[in-house]
Formats: sequence, C-alpha cells, structure tokens
Amino acid sequence: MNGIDFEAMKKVDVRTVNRSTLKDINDVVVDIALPKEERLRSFIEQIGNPYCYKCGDLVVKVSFAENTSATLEDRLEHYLSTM
Amino acid sequence: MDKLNTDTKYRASIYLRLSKEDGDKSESDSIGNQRDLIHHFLKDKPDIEVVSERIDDGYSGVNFDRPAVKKMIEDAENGVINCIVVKDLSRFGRNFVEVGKYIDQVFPALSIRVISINENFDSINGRSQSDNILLPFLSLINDAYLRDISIKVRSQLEIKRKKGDFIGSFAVYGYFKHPENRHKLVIDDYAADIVRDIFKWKIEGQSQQRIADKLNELDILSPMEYKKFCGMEYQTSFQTNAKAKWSAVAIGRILKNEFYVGTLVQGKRTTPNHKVKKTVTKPSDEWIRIENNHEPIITNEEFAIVNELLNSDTRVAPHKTEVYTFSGLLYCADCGNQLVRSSVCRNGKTYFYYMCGKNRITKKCTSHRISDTAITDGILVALRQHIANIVEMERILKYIDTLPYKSTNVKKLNVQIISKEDEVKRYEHLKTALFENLSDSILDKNEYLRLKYVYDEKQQSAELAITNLKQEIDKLIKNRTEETLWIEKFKLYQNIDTIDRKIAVNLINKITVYDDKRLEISFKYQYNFDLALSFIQSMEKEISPRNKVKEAV
Repeated sequence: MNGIDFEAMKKVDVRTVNRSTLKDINDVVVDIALPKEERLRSFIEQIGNPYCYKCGDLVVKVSFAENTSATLEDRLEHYLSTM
Repeated sequence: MDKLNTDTKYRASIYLRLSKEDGDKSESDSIGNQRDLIHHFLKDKPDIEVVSERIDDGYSGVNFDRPAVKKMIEDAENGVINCIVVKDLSRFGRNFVEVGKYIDQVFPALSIRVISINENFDSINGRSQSDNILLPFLSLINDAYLRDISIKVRSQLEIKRKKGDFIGSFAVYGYFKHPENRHKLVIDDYAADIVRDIFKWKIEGQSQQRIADKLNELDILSPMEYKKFCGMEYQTSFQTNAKAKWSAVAIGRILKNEFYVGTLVQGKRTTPNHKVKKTVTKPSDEWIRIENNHEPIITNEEFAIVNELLNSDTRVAPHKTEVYTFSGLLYCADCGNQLVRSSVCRNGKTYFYYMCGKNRITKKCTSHRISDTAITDGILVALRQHIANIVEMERILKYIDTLPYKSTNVKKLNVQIISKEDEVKRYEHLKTALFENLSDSILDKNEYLRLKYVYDEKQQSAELAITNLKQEIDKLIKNRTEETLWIEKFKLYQNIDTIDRKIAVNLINKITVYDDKRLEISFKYQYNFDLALSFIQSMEKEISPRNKVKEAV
C-alpha cells in the first residue's frame, strides 16, 4: 500500500469529481474481528479514496478537524459520559 | 451677606454623612459624634434653631447623589431652611468642583448661611483673605483624598483579580463562596446539578425558552430566588415579578458563562473614574481571565459544543420540544446560508427534504435540494465505517465498563419531591392557623381571605411541581432503559445504528451541501489516514523486516 498519495485524495473537488470513478462505501465490508491495523488497511483498500467516495447516488467528501487533538475515541467517550 | 445679617433667627439643617467606602473610618467621624459636635457648637448660639437633621449613612461624598443631601438642598431652594451646619466640608461633599459650586454660587444666591465647624468657616462672617485661599484648598484636599483611596482600592482589586481571587458580591450560580475564604469558590452540589442539566438539555436540542419553562414547571428556584432562599441579601432593581422565574436570557447567560469550565473572568466592566458611576464594558481582550482557577462543573468539550450550537441559528419546530437532528449543521455550499427543512406529501406518505434558505426566500441561489434520508444515510454510513475501522474499540468497551450506573438523578428528584411535600403540609398548617386567627378575631375577614389566597396559590404551585417532578422521574427511568439499551447494543455490534441529536453535535462540525447530490461532512475529530497507515507500516518493519516486501502492495 505504499505510494498512496493521500494529499491528492484530499484535494479531490467534490463539485467536479466524476461519480462513476468513485467507489461506493456501501460495498465496503470489513470484518470487525480483525485487529485495528488490518481493519484500517482493508478499509482503505476497498474504498480507494477515504476522503471522497459515493454513498448510493450521493457524492460524499469527508474532512477531519484540524484545530483539535480530540480523536473519535475521545468524542465517543465524551458522548457516553453524558448519557 | 447683608440680608442674612438682618435675619435674627436661622432655621438650620444639620447634615451628617458617613461613608463605608471613602475611608471615613475614624471614630470621630461616626454619625453620633458628628451630631454631638454640632449640637455642642450650637449650644451658645440661640439665633440658630435646628429644624431638620439630614443623615446620609453609608454614602460616599464623591457626588451629590445622596437622598438626604438632595432633600436638604431642596429645602434650601424652597426657603424651608436658610442655614446649613456641618462638622467639616468633607461631610457635605468631597467633589471639589461640585462643593465649590454650592459654596461659592448656589448657597450665596439663595442666601443660605453655611457653617463648617472644623474649618472655622461661617459664611455670615464673609470670607477672610485666608478663607479665600484655604477653603478651595481644603476642598481640593478632600477631593484628592477620594482619588487616592480610589486608586488604592482599584489597584488592590486588580491584584486580587490577577491572583484569581473572586471579588464579586455573590458567587456565580452553581458555586458557594468558601466558608473560610470568601475569595475562593466551592461547588454547590444542588445548583451545579441544575447547571449540568441545563447544558445537557441544550445538547439534546432544547431551546433556552424550553429549558426555562421546564425549570419553572419543576418549581426550581431561579438563581435570584435561590440566593434569597440561601439567606443572601440580594437586591436588584430589575425585578418585575413577585417571584423571579427562569427566563431564556438567564439560561443563555449560564450556557455562555466560562465560569463553569473553571475559568475566572473578571474586570469586564469598569467606571471611567471614581466620580462617574456609569459603568462601561471593557474590550474583551482586557478582561482578566484565569483558566483552571476553580473546580469546573462542565467539561471543556461540552462547553465548546454548546457554544457552537448557540452561534448557529436553530429553531424548534412548532409542537416539538427539541430541534431536528441536523439543525444548525447544514449549510449551502454556494451562498453559505443554512438549509431549511420542508416536507412534501406524495401518495399519502410524507417525505422530508432540505433546501437552501436563500433559494426559498429570494431565489437568488439554486435549490440544493436533498432528501433527509439521503443526508441521514450518508452520515450514518460514514460514521459507522469510521467507528468500525479507525477506532480502537477495546478502549471504548473498557471505558463503558467504568461508567457509573446513574441513579443520582432519580435520587435528586425524589429529594425535591419530599421537600415539596413538606411545603404542601406547611401551607396546610398555616391555613389552619389562619382560620383559628379568624375565629379568635385576630384577623378580619378581608385579611383572612387575602392571606388564604396567598397560601392557596403557593400550595397549588408546590402540588403542581410534585406532579411535574414525578413525570420527570418516569421520563428519566424510561430514558435510562433507552440509554442502557443503546449501550448494550453498542457493546454487542460495536457500532451505532441510528443518529440522534446528541451524536450529531458531538461528532459533526458541519455538513456542506452542494448541488447535484454532493455533500461534504466535516467531523469534529482529527484523523489522518496517511499517518495512521505509515505508523502501521513502521510497526511492521520493526516486528518483521522480511514481511516488508510482501506487505507493500
């Protein structure tokens, strides 16, 4: 999996990207029994570009927060603590 | 002064003033001492008859905004008095300009005799050369004294603020002043719980008004009433109702108050100088902010989420108590306006969709129409994939096991019910006693009816509160089971299967909608596929260098 240009993937323009070139996230199946590293690797392999993909007939672009050190684990824990 | 000399009898007002603020602390300045001194002085002056005594106890001489001095000047203007006696000029006032105006212009024009005992000044004698020089000087010194004290006090307060000492008269709702050190704050468990509820309800999507209504329905004392209830002498001129209620503004103020995350912010307002009482708000970069100053009630994350919500424009739909899941998170990519929710009925089924707010009102942007299901689906699938593939699930599952079973809220409400039941009983007793007073003719019928009406009202509001509290407990228990179910399901499937408002605001920063069914989801957490992947690879290199070639795809 070396040589994947994630920077270029991030820069894909959601307005102009050709739908037919994108993979559908609904087709991605990862076994949750696998270790975390394997799951991540498998996800990236299947989705192609984790920053821009299709979800049904929707084109979805994803961006992560840059001004925080909070991870998804942190956010989930906070959510659980306020239940 | 000629006219005064012919007047044989003087109708005098003696004026006494004592201030807590401007340093008149010596015993010689006590009201009693001032009075004694003046009466002693007047003993051998039969031509002066004291007709009134005007006392301003606890007023600074910085201005003439004092009730008794105002009355005295009014009397002088109306001719009720024609003589004023004070112990020294600083009693009359410490403001150089104002005192000079009265002594040199107003009183001579009204033919008022002014006697200031300590300065040996009596206007009937006219002004000697030395008076002309000395009096303004004395007045100036009186004024300078104020300025000096003001500077001392101001700098002292500034030091306290910078040190993190709380210097307000009353602790912020949710805290008590420390019993031994009034500059420190400790959490007031009861009020802190209410503050936590307020933040929680806001995150769940309730409006400030709805939260205020809810607290009023539960008959929870508003911060002002709570202060009174705790025995604090709190007074305000803003109160309009007999009993202060929670308001949307009060809720908003609590939600925006950094105090609750442990930050002490003081010195927001000031007065231009000690003579001007009008307060001005300082620019926020001059406020004194001290982080981690006291124990927080709200976490930084929660505070941040709530304040982002407050900045976005959301509205609870009619007949709903909470906003929609994505309210305030959906924006049009082209004009930046928020998307608005609408519905359409087709073949007896209602479909919800979102469209650009600007398009709907002015048609100056394209529709950006997108169905509610498409958005919800897009976000749910993305989150599910992230939870499945980038989260360290072990950590979350372990964390779940550490969560305490929360029965505290129910307990808290039960305690409130008991106290309300006591209240109901107390009014019942009071009414019985009232009736006895009527029978014994201690009260007449009108008084009886008036008091009975008051007690009836209070009893009814306590009864209503009990009903509401019981409903709240039912709701809590129901939510508890829902929450427990949610957690059980999460543990089982190691994922979520729906998105509610709380998840949305905890995990999503913004959803930008483009035309042609395209959208961008910006999450509230950081992640970098690039780094994560290279981290894995470097780990593998270390563990088994021979696998390197095989693994590289």
